[in-house]
Amino acid sequence: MINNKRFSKVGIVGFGGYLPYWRLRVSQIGQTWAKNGIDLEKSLGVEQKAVASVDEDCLTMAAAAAGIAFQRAALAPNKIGAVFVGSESHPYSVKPTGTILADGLGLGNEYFCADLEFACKAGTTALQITAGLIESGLVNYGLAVGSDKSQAEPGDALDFTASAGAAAFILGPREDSLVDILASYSFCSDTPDFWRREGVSFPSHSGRFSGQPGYFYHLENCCQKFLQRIKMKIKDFDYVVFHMPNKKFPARAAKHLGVEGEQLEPGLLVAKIGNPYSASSLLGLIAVLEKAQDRENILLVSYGSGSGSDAFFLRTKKKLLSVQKKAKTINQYLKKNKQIDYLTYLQNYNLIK
Amino acid sequence: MKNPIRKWRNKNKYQYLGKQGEIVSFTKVNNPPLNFGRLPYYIGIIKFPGGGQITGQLVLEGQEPAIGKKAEGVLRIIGQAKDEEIINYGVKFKLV
Amino acid sequence: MKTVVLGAYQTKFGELWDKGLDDLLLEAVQGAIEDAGIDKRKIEIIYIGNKLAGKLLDQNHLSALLGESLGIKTPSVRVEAACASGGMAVAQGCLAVNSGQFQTALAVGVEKMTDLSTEEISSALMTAAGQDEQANGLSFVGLYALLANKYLDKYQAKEEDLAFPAIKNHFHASLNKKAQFPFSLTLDQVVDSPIIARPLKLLHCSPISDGAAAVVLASKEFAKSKERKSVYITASVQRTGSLSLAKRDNLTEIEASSSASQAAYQLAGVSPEDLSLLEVHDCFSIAEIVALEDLGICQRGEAYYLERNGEVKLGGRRPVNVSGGLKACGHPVGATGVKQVVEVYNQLKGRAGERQVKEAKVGLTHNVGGIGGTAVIHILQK
Repeated sequence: MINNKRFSKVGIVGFGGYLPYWRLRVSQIGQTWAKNGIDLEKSLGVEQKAVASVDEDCLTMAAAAAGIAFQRAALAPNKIGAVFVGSESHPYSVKPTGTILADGLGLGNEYFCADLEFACKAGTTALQITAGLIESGLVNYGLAVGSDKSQAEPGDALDFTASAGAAAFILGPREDSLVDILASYSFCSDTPDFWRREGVSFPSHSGRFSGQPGYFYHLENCCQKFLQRIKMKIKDFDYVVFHMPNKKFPARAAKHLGVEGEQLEPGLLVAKIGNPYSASSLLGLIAVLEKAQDRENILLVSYGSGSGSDAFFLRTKKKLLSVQKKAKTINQYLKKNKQIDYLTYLQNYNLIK
Repeated sequence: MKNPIRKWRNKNKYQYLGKQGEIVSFTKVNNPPLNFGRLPYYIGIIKFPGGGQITGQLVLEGQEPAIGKKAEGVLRIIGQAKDEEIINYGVKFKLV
Repeated sequence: MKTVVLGAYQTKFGELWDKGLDDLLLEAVQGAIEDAGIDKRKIEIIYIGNKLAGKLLDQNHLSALLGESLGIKTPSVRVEAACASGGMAVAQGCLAVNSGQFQTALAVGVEKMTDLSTEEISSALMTAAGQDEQANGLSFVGLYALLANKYLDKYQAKEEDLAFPAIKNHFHASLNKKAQFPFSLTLDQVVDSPIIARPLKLLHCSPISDGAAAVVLASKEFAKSKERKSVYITASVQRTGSLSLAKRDNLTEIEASSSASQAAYQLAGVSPEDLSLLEVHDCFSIAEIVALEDLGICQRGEAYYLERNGEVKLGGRRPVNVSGGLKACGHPVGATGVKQVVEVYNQLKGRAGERQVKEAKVGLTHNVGGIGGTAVIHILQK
């Protein structure tokens, strides 16, 4: 049971996204596996995915995103009292990404920290935990990151959308915030739609089962129950951001929940970047924050396999406008990138032995 | 650096992250030494306004390297660690 | 100072599959002792120049290894100064004799490299370079490539200019039956060879080699008793430079070489114009170009002209690397510095056969460790 309580003390004081430089067309992947590439692009609604270089990983991307967040926050690094990185591709099974990130950013030695895993919702959970610590007064500022260099078996359905990216959020007191975090909620169950065991390179999934009993059940239930608690309706929100494993799922969920196109569009990055797992909904949120106006309401609902959804009610403030262009924006990543071929992608991901 | 303890001892290892310097010279290493993979990479000597000058790999991402161009420190993986080794994170220089 | 060179010997350099480190050591030492015409027990101290035996062959205690092979109990020590180990061994020998404590000394340089893979050797060679350079995956060729790029940029030289030292040295090696590559190369062959680290190509780089060389040194008193016309080492100078290239303000000069040579000229009472020939450290062709400038043979930025116009070729005004240099004679790392002294000695004694420099009276050897962390210069005179 989660108490129906709002946040009163916490907001976002800095945010930053990172996308690697390389793109791989879904049609390229399709051609390699003798499938009709263009058809796949249409059915998934995904044109290309962002792929990382051989010398990048969850940690290096988290550091890049966090660097941008700090540019917007103008905060002394040692004020951070919590570091939580959510990922499905932490560099180590044992040795936290969080401490290497903290060291790279010069955060000092005093911070709550552990790595998080909950499939694609680990990043939004990092946000919840960090917000909770700030709300309790135990720390003033915290860093929450969702970052993934997603693994997919070459030729498997996931290969067509699994991508790479990172989104970092610095949370702090309302006095300093650009966006207030007003409420959050979660809805979970043990659902076997997607998993990867320790020591195994690629995830497995249950095909179509990931849809109704997975994504839609958790995301829609979470969303509806959340709205009941905070006594709001979909139409009260200027922006709605869902987790985006492809273009179809969030579009269908939107239809079920009565979300309009203009509410969903600004955060819907998946066609151009694919699914960067723990960074998916968070990068959508950053795209929204980089264009939002003062006093706008944002609803974010993530989804992580295994399964669960996190929901957030956020509200923008005037201060947000002054930092939107202060650092590298999602649009800049979308404009400046380069296509590579499937072979180069396989080399970059050490998939050629 | 193969030995993680030697790397850990170097408290200044990230000091050039986010800093911009100028390329003094560079080359492309076509035949990497042991444990640096098989793919070629660029490496250069970068000079900083404060006076420091160091060796570092370059990240190109669409840019052509040249003597005199500016580059900024970014966190990347250096070399290829074996399964039982620590991953070697360090600063590479991305052409701006 | 005046140290007599009593005898000298060089093994063949190359990929010597059936010779181990101990075989090479023995051959060179016995050869030099025989050339000197003295009994092996008259050698009072031995210096063994070697860089890689510990890392590549798990053998460090070379002094005892030689003692075992030669059946002697002579005091002996291994000397290491990266690629200047050989030159450093000769320098230590001169020190010993000039101290008055020893009448004779033997300096031998040896290296056995070809048992291992190119990647392993490449990594081992980097132990001559800085920690940072190693940590970032710089190879030894890459290190000199950084210098080469800066040189080409600074003096508006062309990539093609890098070919000429290699072409010249191969021509010289074609006259040297001890050389690893006793054949000529054309400009096209050099220019078309694969790029190792831009702008350095395969045929700009010295090879991986096995080999050894040794010299017997003696005091004037000891030599008098032998009644021979002597060749002397009239200067033996070492200098230390920065380990890392990045720590230098000027990337296109090797200060250790310049300052060592200036001191050597003073000690020997000669100037660059007096030199009949030079053996310089051409681990890469750019290294020979920079060396000529460091040693005062020409002005900064002019050396690549000299290489083109034949001035430093056999028959020219001031022949450089008539042995074939490191590029064409070969570069068994620890042996090179001693081989250079052997070559100059043979030239001054008039026994260099087809590659004899006419009326050779004064010679200089130039041996460098890493990218100039160490430089050792010797001047020999009749």
